[in-house]
Amino acid sequence: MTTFQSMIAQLQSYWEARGCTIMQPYHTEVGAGTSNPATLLRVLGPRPWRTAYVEPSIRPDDGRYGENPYRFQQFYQYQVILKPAPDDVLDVYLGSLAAIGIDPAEHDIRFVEDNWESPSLGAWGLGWEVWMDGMEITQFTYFQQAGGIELDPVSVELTYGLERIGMHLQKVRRAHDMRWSPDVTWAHVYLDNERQFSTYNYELADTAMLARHFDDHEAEAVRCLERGLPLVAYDQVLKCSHAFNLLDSRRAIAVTDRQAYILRMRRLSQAVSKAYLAAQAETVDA
Amino acid sequence: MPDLLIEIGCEELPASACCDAEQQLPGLLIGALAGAGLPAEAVRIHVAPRRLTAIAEGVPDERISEGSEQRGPRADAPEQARAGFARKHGLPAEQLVERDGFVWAMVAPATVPAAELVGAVVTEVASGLQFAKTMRWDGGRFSRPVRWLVVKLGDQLVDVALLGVTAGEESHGHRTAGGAVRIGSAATYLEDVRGVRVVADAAERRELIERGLNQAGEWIDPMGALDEVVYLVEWPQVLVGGFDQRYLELPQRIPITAMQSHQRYFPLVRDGRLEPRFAFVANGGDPAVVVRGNEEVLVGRLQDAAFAFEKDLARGLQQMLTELARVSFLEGGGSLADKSERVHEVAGQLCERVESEPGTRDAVLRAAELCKADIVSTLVAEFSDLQGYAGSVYARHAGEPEAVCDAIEEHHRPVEAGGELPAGEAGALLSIADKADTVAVAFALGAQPTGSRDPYGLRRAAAGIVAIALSRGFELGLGELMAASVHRLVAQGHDLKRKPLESVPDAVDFVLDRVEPLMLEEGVSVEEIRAARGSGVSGPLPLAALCRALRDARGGERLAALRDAYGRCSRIAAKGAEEAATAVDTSRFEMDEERGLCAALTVADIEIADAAARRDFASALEAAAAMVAPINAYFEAVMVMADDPVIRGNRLKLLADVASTLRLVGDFEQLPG
Repeated sequence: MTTFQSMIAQLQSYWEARGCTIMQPYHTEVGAGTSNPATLLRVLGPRPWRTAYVEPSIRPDDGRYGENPYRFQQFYQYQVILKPAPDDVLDVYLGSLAAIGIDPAEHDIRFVEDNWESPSLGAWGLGWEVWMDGMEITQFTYFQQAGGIELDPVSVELTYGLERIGMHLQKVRRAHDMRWSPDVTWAHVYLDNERQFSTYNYELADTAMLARHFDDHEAEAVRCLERGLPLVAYDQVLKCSHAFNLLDSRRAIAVTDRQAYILRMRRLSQAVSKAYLAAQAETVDA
Repeated sequence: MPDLLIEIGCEELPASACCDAEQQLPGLLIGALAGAGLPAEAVRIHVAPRRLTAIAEGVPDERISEGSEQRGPRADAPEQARAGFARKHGLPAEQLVERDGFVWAMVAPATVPAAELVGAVVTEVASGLQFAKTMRWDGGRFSRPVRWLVVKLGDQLVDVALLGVTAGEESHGHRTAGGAVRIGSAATYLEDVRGVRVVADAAERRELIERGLNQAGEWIDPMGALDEVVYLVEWPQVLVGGFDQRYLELPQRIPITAMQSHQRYFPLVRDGRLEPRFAFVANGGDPAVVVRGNEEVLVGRLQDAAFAFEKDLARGLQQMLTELARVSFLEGGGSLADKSERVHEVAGQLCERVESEPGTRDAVLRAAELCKADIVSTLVAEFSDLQGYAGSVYARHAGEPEAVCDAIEEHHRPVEAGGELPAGEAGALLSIADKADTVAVAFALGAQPTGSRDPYGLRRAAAGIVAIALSRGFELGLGELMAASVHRLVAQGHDLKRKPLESVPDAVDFVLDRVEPLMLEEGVSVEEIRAARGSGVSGPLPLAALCRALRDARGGERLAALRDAYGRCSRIAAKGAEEAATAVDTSRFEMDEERGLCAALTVADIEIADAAARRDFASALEAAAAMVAPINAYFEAVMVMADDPVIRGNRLKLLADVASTLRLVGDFEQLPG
């Protein structure tokens, strides 16, 4: 049986063999692997870049106290960025499924239109959700814009939903029963985590503090930008984003304020992206 | 004569892009070929997720152009102009001939082989395609990246490159079970790709799918999944899966929505009852594996739905109602509790106006209180399509009368242009009250649509009001309903962004705008619509009735005479508006024709008002036309601009009154003369 960890190892070696730099998860909470600077910033500008990494996605509002078979406030994505997007990228992707034991000829694999947009990152792209026998297993996106900047060359992003694929490979209906390693299940590793974080996210998180943190991190991002430190500023943007997500799960954001918060994050992302690009242009031969 | 084949090979196209291409390709190909001087006998289009294929049958072997003499620039024009002219006709400059003060090109008869011309045709066709959304990649811009191109004229390969690919003979079949294939010619195309597991023709795929579904049993498709599914597969295979009987204990629309929304499955029924089975269309794979996978996905969704349903029942409709105060409706428009309260008030007024039965009225008012509760339900959070339906189920569970439950379910209708209308009167009234409030409040808050931006779906809401009012013959009094909404909004403590005196008439006009497309469909002209709008009628029903009356009167002599008579009155009245008396003084009349016109006006006033109240605008037009003779007699005999300012003012006022009475049946000056 393919354990969760061996499936990840297989993906790592598949993409490593295709020239990807294997990165590690980012150290700050992100809602998706896209927000990791290895994606959002590296897709900017002309330099080629190929990377693959696991990203824990932190989405406070998706928590279900561990009671739902496949919805959690923390789940794992496998993120691949290919810049520029190769011509045969769909077939290369199908190859990665074969590498983890999914024979594309045995299944009904479908590429169904799905267009992605992140208003707070000023980013959007066109692509598909990949269906395997009716189940969505991957998001496939040709990035068109990030940080409000048109991308050239266009990168392709593959985001695998690891728990779903793992559950399918192991023929279990609840993530809880999925083997992480031969002797340990997902529940063993994460069930308590889900319970505690769901409680915190929905019931306990200090909303006044979070609102303050949002303001503080925003101000800090601006200061970092003024000193020409876009990478540091971007971390502050990510912290704003996590504070926003927690405020949201605490239902502390009125519909009227939501747009304003998103706009503030978008402005920062755009400023960071611009500064990052400018810095990159200066060091282009380094 | 050879056939031309163009196959543009793409990464999986969205279903909507396939449909766009299918519609546009025939015109594009015919046009491009005609432009190249190669008119084809027929075209056929085959569209599938990975290919857009256009075939022109019977393309001429060559373009034959006869010899001609073309006049160019003047003989004394600069050298540059002469050279350009020569180049245009493919001649060396020294072969130009001078005659009659001009330069001439003697173009010899020419024959150009079609093979040399079709490359440009292909480029024109591909670049002419318009998609709702396009993306960039290395190769260019299209709906999705283009990965190969096959162009053949007869069995000859045509040399052309576009969007990053060069034409070849090699096509590609089914993504996982096909492989590459050499295309022989247009004649063999469908069979060539069938060999690599592709049914390229959409109509054929639809037929295969329908046949498969029919074999699976009696299937339903209330959400219209089939139209999309046809373009999601290249090698359709209808399979059947099952699920546990216990999910059929859920109200029917819940499992149906779980099957149809997102998953695009087709529920199977027997004697009108759902069976615990569903049909779906796969694009390949091992049937046993594919069925098992899809069953698991559906069970997951049914579990979610059942869980949500039970949770909602445990929470109860009353509890949901109390939560509405915490959910915002429009920015600055307060909560959904505020909205429900306004809808309740507007609905009450509407019931009085249309004189609904007391029973209907009670149902409408109770449903107005309850109809937004399901927005906070877990089920609607999972399946937004169930809004309204979920509320009706929970209301029934709470013991509400059937009429109330039906009105809650129906008040979202119509959900799209031309969609199904509420079946019952209570649902129809509640739907109008809800939509009128949404439009009125959005306009009062400055959130009206701008250009193509309509984030709150106000056009759809307005079109819904119009469709229901016209089909039921409701007299709405839209202005009063919307004013009531806005007044209540203020009473609820919300600040307006615009004065009600401006926003309410704007909102009414906005709703009346939605009458226009319906009238155009009924053969009313743009000018007749404008004339009817100019009458100042303030409801969809009278507006539609007046439009139709003007249409029916079109071309008649009486209407033409009325138009002219009205024009004379309104023009002179407008010019002399400042001098006009405040009221007509009959003692100041000097001529019989003045008295005659005044008497005719009194009669017309009564008859027009009477006919308009009955929405009988044909009679109203008759009554107006009866004014033509007295008006014309008046202008024959009476000098309007009399020297005595009092007499003049009196005459101007009479004409102004005549014009405004006539305008009640249309601003005739909008009509073509």
